[in-house]
Amino acid sequence: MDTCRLTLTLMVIVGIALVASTASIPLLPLAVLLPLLLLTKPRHCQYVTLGLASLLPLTLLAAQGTLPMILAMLEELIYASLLLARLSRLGKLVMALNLPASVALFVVYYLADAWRPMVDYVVYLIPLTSSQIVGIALIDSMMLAIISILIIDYLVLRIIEYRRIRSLTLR
Amino acid sequence: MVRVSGKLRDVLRSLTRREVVDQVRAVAQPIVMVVVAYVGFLNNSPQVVVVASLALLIYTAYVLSWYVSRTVELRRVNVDLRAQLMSRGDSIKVNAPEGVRVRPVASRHFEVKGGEMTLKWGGVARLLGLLLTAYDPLTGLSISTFRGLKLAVPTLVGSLEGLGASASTLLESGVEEYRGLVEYDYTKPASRIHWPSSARINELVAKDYSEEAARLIVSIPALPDLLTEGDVRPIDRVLMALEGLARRYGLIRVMLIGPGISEGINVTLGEVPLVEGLLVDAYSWARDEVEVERLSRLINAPIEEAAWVVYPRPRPVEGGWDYFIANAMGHLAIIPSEAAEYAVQLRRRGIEVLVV
Repeated sequence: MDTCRLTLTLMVIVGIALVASTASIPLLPLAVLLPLLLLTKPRHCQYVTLGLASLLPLTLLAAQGTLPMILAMLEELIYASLLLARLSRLGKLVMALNLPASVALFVVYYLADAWRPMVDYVVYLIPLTSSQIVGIALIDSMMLAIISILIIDYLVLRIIEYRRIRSLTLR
Repeated sequence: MVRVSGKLRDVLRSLTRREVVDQVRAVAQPIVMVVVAYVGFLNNSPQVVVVASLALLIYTAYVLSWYVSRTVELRRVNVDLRAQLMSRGDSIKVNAPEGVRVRPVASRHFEVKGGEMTLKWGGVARLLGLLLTAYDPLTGLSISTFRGLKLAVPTLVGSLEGLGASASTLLESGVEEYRGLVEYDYTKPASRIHWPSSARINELVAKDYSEEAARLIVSIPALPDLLTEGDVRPIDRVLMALEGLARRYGLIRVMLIGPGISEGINVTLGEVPLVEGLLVDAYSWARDEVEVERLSRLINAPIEEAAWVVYPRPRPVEGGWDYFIANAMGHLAIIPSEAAEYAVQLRRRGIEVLVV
């Protein structure tokens, strides 16, 4: 069994558990249909996993709770492991820097109220409920984390390039 | 507006179907995750926003890691050039990481199959650079870069064994150094007996050859054109090629041939630089017409004295290159690219040519 098929199997199992944990009757057919994804052709496997990782968070709309939330996060982490396996050795190293840094920055930006100026402006324009404010604060924190990691990676690339040119010059 | 739509149509027409699908995918995938996060925001569900944000962060981290690692890896791609001088049939391998498509931009001496280039012709094969493309089927992203190399690979037409019947004849007959006459040793082949001398002294006398034999005879033109001053003198390229040959064959015999000059010397790898000095000496001697005449008389002198065997002066119609073409000998001739037009004539005479 290749890495993708293994990841898809794990994602389907966790997905069924996620759907079941929401205890939502309209979602039950989804729990039955999820195993059918294992029938997809190997060359489409990676797209199916990507689709699952992107769309399964929507099941949390049916029920909010700790268990579904943990299962959904687990689903994403399984997907992250597949992405990690796809990268080369150097890529894995950069991913080992990028992923924890992204999540850490996301949490730090959220807790440090980095989103406040933007949310204050949106609230000034449109009246929002408190949970909507939390939602937009999370989205803002995510955007800030992505922009930060983009800048960090750009700098990493420049530093590697500078070191390479320097080593060539010294040689 | 019309102009913009026209340009857009032109761009779309220049892309293949797969490229269009990839472009759409590269944009659509993160958008789907952002939309899911906004759906959570609109439905007052911070949990959906958190999980969708995590998905997007993982995806972004992956895309950036792929981009950074591939960019660095593409810049590190190099070619595995095992020797300065190569033979037809040898191949050059590009050390590219997995998943990177390599398209060499090279002269037609190369037959390209994936990342491996096989030399199909002799001469100087040129590898200008490599067009490298990394593609990620999941995200639809691709990076293309051109890695300039500007390599010139001197290439022999084939290995020594493949040079043809004339080469093997030369190997058997004229490569060993003649020392003089000695008493015949019955363990040696009878073909070495020198019958005229044996008849004269009524004893079997044989020609004595040095034990060490050069495996390759290379003719180089003893012409002032080779020493022309410049950034890279033709003689430097010739010496580089000779070094490559000496590294491969051990001992090689270098024939300096020019108007009024014909000199052979056996050289090993460390002695190749001597050839330049020899060429300078030979040329300066040959320029002195009186000296040439004096040396010409040495043709019939004992071999110890005839260190220089000077051929009769060339006819007035024979220029330097014409003389070389007419008198070159051995397996291989090394000529600078400035005189590449003579390669065909040399080949016609059965001498392989290395243009440097």
